[in-house]
Amino acid sequence: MVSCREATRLMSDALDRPVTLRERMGLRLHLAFCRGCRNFEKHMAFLRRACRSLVERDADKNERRRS
Amino acid sequence: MDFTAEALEQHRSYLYRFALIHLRDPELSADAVQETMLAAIAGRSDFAGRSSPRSWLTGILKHKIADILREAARLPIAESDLAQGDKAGDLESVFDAKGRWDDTMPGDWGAPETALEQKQFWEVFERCCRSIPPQTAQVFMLREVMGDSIEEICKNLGITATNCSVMLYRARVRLRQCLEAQWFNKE
Repeated sequence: MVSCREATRLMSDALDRPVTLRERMGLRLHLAFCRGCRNFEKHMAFLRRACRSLVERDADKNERRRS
Repeated sequence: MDFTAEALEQHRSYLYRFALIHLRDPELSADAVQETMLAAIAGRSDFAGRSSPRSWLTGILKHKIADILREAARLPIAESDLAQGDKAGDLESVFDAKGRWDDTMPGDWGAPETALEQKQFWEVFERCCRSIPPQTAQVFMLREVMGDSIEEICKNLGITATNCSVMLYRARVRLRQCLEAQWFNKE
């Protein structure tokens, strides 16, 4: 069984590279039993959305400033 | 391809943020972007639609950034983030000896998207980003804000893929923790 430390590392890696089937299975099993890591997974998805929206946000601001 | 000042203007915020990641100085960054705009207008005949306007502009900007860094004799990146100040011991406060969440188990953030609309959230977000060691933050911003691939980041910064993913992991863990403490737990 992978630890929370390993599970979070895998969740981070999965945002940057394809994970192997074995890694995914290990992670899914861990997540089934760990609420903290399930929350972590949601938080990672949110972080990515937040960062992507940073550039758009600045673009909107410039748009408003010019109009 | 239309290269009026107006057409260039829509890329300004992207370029500024890109410059800021590398230069970490608002004034220098604004200068670099301004010079890039001028160079783009002067050299628009060179463009010829070989790439997207944004990547063409980013290419010019990278040269400007390199010039500024060289001039300031400032090292764009140090190995310090990995060597010191951000050791493995850093995450010890998050996980116990068995690798389980210590007393920092991630909580329920409810519907975090609503935070994206709030100005105060972004202030907290930027503050949290600044609390991460500089190079780690730089790699994180390149990956998440600029959308660079691991390969691009490794090539441009001269780091290994392993270092890169370790830094991204640390940045994410820390940023998550900071946002939870400074924002989501406060509501």
